[in-house]
Amino acid sequence: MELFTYQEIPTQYFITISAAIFVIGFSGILINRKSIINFLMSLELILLAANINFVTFSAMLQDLVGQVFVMFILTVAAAEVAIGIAILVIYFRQKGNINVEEINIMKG
Amino acid sequence: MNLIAFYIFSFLLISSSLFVITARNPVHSVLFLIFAFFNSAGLFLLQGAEFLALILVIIYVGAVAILFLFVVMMLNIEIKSIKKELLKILPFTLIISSIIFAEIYFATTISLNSLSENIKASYPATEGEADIYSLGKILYTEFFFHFQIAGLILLVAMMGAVILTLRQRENVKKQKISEQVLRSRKDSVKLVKVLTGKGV
Amino acid sequence: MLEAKLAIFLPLISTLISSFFVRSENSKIIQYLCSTLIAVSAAYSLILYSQIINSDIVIISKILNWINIADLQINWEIQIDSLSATMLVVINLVSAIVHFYSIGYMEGEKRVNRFICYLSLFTFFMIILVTAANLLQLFVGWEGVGLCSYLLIGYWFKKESANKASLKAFITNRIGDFAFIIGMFGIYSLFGSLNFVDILAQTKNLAPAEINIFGTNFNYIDFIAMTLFIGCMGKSAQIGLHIWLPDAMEGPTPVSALIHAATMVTAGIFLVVRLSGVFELSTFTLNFMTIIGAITCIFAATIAITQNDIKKVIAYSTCSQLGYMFFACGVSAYAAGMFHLVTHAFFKALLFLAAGNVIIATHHEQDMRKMGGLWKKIPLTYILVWLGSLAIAGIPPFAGYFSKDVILESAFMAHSKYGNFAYIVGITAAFLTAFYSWRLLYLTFHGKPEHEKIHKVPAIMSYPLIILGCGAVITGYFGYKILEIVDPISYYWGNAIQNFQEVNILSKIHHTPPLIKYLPLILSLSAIITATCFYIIKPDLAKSCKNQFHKIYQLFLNKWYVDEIYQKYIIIPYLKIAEFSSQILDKKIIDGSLPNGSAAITRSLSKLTSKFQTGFIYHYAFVFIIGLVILLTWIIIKNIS
Repeated sequence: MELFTYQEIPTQYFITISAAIFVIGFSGILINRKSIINFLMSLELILLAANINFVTFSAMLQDLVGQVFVMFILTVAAAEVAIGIAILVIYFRQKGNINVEEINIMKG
Repeated sequence: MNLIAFYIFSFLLISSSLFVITARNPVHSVLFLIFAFFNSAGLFLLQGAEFLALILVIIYVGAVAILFLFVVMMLNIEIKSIKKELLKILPFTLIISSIIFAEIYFATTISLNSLSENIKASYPATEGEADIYSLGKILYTEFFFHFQIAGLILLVAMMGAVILTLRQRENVKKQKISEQVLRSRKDSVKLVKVLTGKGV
Repeated sequence: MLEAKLAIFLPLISTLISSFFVRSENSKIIQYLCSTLIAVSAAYSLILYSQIINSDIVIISKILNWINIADLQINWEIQIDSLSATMLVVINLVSAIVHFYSIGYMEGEKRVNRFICYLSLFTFFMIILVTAANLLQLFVGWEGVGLCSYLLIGYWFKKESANKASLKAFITNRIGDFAFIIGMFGIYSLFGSLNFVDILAQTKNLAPAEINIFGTNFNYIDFIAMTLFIGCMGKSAQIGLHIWLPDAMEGPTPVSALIHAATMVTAGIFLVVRLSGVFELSTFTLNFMTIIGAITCIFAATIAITQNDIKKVIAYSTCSQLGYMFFACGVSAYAAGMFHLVTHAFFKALLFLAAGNVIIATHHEQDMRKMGGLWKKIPLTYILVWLGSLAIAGIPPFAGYFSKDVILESAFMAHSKYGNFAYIVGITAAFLTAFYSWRLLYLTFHGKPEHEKIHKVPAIMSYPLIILGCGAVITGYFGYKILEIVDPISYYWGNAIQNFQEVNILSKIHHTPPLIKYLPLILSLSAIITATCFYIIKPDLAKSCKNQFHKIYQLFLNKWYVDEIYQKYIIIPYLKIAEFSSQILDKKIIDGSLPNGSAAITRSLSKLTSKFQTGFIYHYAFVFIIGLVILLTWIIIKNIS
C-alpha cells in the first residue's frame, strides 16, 4: 500500500475556497471602521480569491491562459497598492490620522 | 495525501483571512495577511502552478505586504476596539455575504456541470513540462503586448508613487549646472586696487 | 369726379398739414388754412349733393386693393349715393363751422394746432364711414371716429376727469364694436361678401336662413341685425351704453358740437339706414329698436330737466333726440329718421356752440345756476339760442317741426303696440324737451345777473353760428316741401333706402287724424308756458316742486343711478375677476408651477439626490454591493429558469 495516495481534489472545493475568501474580503470592506489600511487589505483578499479561481480553472481545463492572467493580476495588484499607499501617505500628511469616519471631504 | 494538505491549507487560509479583518492591531492584521498568502501559495502548489506559488510569495509577501507593514508602522494607526456601530451592520453583512457566497458557488457549480466534454484549451499545457517552462513559452510570444503593457503599468505606478509623495524641501542649495557653465569672467572676477594698509 | 375727390380728401390734407405744426405753439395761419380747406370741402360737397340727389347716380369707384385672400376680396372703395351725399354735406358743413369756431374758442390754450389736427382727422374718418362701399371700410371709419373722440375728449389730458371720460367713451364704444364685429362676421358668412351692393342684392333670398348658436336655432338675419344694432347702441349712446355721452362733455365745446351732436353719434343711424334692406327683414330687431329708442328718449329727457351744467343738458338732449331717430327707423320710416338727423345736426350744433359762447362770456362758468341776465350782454347768442330752442321744440316753421312730427306720426300710423308705445313716449318726451330747452334759456339768459363783467365773445365765434341758425330755420321747410325728403314717391333717396313694406309708412302719414297731428305742437307750447311759469313768473315754484318730489328729483339728478349700478354690479366684479386672474391665476399658479415651479422642483430634487454622496467610502461600497447582488441574482435567476 502506498503511503501517499494521490487523490484528485474536486474542483468544487477550490471554488468554495475562492468564494469564501471573496466573501470574507467583501465583509472586510463593509465592517471596516478602523482605518483605510484594513480596506486595502480586504481588497487584497478579494484579489487573492480571484487568483485562486483562475488557477483552479486553469488546472481543470489544462489551459495556460489562466496562469498568465494570474501574473497580470499580480502586477496590477502591486501597482494599485503602491498608488493607494502613496495617496494614503499624502492624506495622512494633511489630516494627521486616517480614521475612516472622518473621510467625507468629497461629500456632495 | 494531498487532500489532507488541502484541508490544512484551506482551513488555515480561511481562518487567517477572518483574523485579517477582525484583528484589533493593524500590525497583526498585516501579519495574518502574510500568513494567508503563504497558505494560498500552498494551494497553488497543490494545483500544479508552482511558479505562481513562488511568485505569490516573492511579490505579494515580499513587496506588497512589506509595504503595508511599513505604512502601518509609519502612520501610527491607533488600536481601536470594535465599536457599537459594527453590531448594527453585522447582520446585514452576514446576509449579504451569504447571498454572494451562495451565488458564486452556485453559478460556478452549475456552469461547471454544464461544461461540455470536449472543450478545447486555447493554450494547452503539455504533460510533464515544468510550469515555468510552459509559461515562459507563451508569455513572451503570444502575450507579448500584454507583458509590455504590464510593464508600462508598473512604470506608471512607480512614477505616480514618486510624484505624489515627493516633498520638496525649501531652502536647499542645489547645483544649477546650466548657470555654472554659462558663467563668464566678468560675473565672477573683479579687479580691485587695494591700497596698502586699507583692505578691500 | 373732382367734386367727390375734393369733398372727401381735403380734410385729410388738412389733417396732414396741421400735423406738421403740432409742436409749434399757436400758428393762426395754419389754423385758418386748415379751416378754409374744410370749408372748401364743404362747398364741394354741396355741389356734389346738388348733382347726386333726385337722380339715380351712384358713384362707386375703387381706390386701392386691400385684402385679397381666397374668396375674401375687400377694396378701398367709395360709394356715393343720396345717403352719403346728404351725410357729406352735414359733416363737412358742421365741421367747417366748428373749425372756424374753435380758432376763437381755444384762444389762449396751448397747442391749438393739435386740436385742429384732431378735428380734421375726425372729419376724415367720418367721411370714410359715410362713403364706404363695404362694411369693413365703414368699420375703419367707425373705429377711427371712436379714436378721435377719445383724443378730443381727453384733449386737456392733464385733467384726470378728462382722461377718465375719454377712456369711458372709448371702452363703451368698444363694447358696441364687439357686437358690430360679430355682426360683420355673420354678414360675411351669410352673404359671402361685405360690399353693400352685394349684401342688399341678396337680402330677400337669404331671409329664411338660420344659424345655430349653442344648440338653439336663430334666424340669421335676426341675429345679424341684433348684433349690428347693439353696435349702433354703443356708438349712438342708446340706453345701456349711453353712459359715455354726458361724461364726454369734459372735452372742449367745439368737440361736443361736432362729435356729440352732429356726426359721430349719428353714425349708428347711418348704419341702420344704409343696411335698411337687412334690418327690414328682421321684425324682431325693428321692434327692439323702437322700444330702445323710445325708452332712451324719455330717459334722457327726464334727466335733462334736472341737470345744472349747461353742456350736460344739451348732451342729454342729444341722447333723447337720437332715441327719436332710432324709433323712427324702428317703424320703418328711415327717411324720417335721416331727415331728423340732418335738422338735428344743425340745431344741436347751434345750441352747443352758443353754449360755448356763454361759457366764454362767463369766464368758463358752466353751472347754469350761477349764470343770469346775459341777454342784454350777448344778444346775438341769445337770439341764436332762441332759434335753436324753437327748432328743437318743434314749433313751425322751424326745422324741428317738420322732422319731429313726421316721426311721431309714423310711430302712430304703424298701428302696432310698439309704435303706439313709441308715440306716447315720444310726445311725453316732446313736452319735456321743450321744458328743459326753455329752462336752459331762462336760467342762462334771464334772471339776476351774476356776472358783472363778461368776456367779450370774438366775432369768429358768433358769425359762423349764423349759418347754423339759418340752417335751423330753413332746413325743415326746405327739406320737407322742396326736396321732398320724406315723400315716398319722390326720388330723393333713390335706392339708398330699401323698404319692404307693402305700403310705405311715409305715405300713410298723410292720413293721420288731426288731433294726433297737432298734439306734439300743443304739448310743446304748453311746456314753454310751464317753463315760463317756473322760471320767470314765479321762480320759487321750481324750488318747491323740487322739495315736494324730492325722491324723484334725486333720481333724475343722479341720472337714474345707472353709473352707480354699473360700477357696483359690473365694473367692480370685473376688476375683482381681473385681479384674481392676474395675481392668483397668472402669477401664483401658472408662473409658480411652470417656470418657477419646475426650477424649484429641480433645485429641491437635486439637493435631495446630492445627499447620496456622503463622502464615506463604506457607503459607496455598500451601494456597490447592493447593485452587485441584484445584478448577480438577476442573471442567475434568468439562467436558471
